[in-house]
Amino acid sequence: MFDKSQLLKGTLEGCILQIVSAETTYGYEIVVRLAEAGFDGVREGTVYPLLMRLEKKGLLFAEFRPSPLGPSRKYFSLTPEGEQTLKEFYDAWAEISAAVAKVQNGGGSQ
Amino acid sequence: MKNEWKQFCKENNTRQSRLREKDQDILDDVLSYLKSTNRNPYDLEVLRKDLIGMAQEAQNRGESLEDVIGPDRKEFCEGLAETLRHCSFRDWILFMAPSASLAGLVILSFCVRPRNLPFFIQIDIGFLMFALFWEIYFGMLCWAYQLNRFHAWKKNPNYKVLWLGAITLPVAIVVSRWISLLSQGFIYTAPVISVILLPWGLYLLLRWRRELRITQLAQESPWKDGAKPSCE
Repeated sequence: MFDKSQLLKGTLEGCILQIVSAETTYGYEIVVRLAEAGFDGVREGTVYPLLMRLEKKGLLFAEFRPSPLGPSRKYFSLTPEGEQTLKEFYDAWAEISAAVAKVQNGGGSQ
Repeated sequence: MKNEWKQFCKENNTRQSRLREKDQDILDDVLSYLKSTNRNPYDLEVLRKDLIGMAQEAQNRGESLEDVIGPDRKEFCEGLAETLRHCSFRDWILFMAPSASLAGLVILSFCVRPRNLPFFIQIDIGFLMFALFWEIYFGMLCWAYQLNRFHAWKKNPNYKVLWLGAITLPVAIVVSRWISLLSQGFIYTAPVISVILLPWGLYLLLRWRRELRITQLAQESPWKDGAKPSCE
């Protein structure tokens, strides 16, 4: 049975950068957007360490803002380095998905 | 001099106490695991603030912290540990020493013996060494408990710390008795002013250094080049 968790790990960071590039947002909202896009089973516990890693790499900027529901929330926005990385992610994605499509059409049991 | 570190920890403690008990246990487990990986105490408290906020929002949505983190708590913790700064020896001393020195001051107050000379007091060194030994012993047991706490949520909890306490307690009793016998009757006479000023001065100095270090840690960027948002 194919384990798609490795595939997910490679693409989730890029998807998070894309969601944050659209608007400054927070962890739970990112999880909701991912679920709407079809990333079922992705929880805040998966997204939060990735957000911290992206923040540490300088791809995201984080700040606390007051929340209407009580505790202040950490909001994330994209940095210039994050924009560059997002562009590189899409270039790499286009390259790899084209190569996979070529392999799928040209060979295998199908 | 405001004790901002203590205020920050107290705010986190207050907010954490408002969570459901199960969520508090999970949060303590996560923090215990991260403490065992020797992370910076300041980063851990900032993380704790984040996680408490996450738990509170989950509670408002009718979910638990376990639902948010997922079934693999260890993977969650390892993901977080990669992003936190290591605790240097200097930071460990700066964060632990003020509390330890305050406890030492309390112990010192019990070691004072009355003396007829004005402006001088006597300190029972035997009792002081005895009490300091037990402070260190219980401090290390608490630290060992924290390191092992993460495993307690499993169906087979790790009773290592209980056995550790049971095995080392008789040894500790013998050692402490030996220490008090060796230094029995050794009374140190010191000027009152030095006994009051020196320990308090040390405590205030350590606290001031800790506040400076916290300011430095808060200002230091956790990432390489001090990133700024692209919208600015």
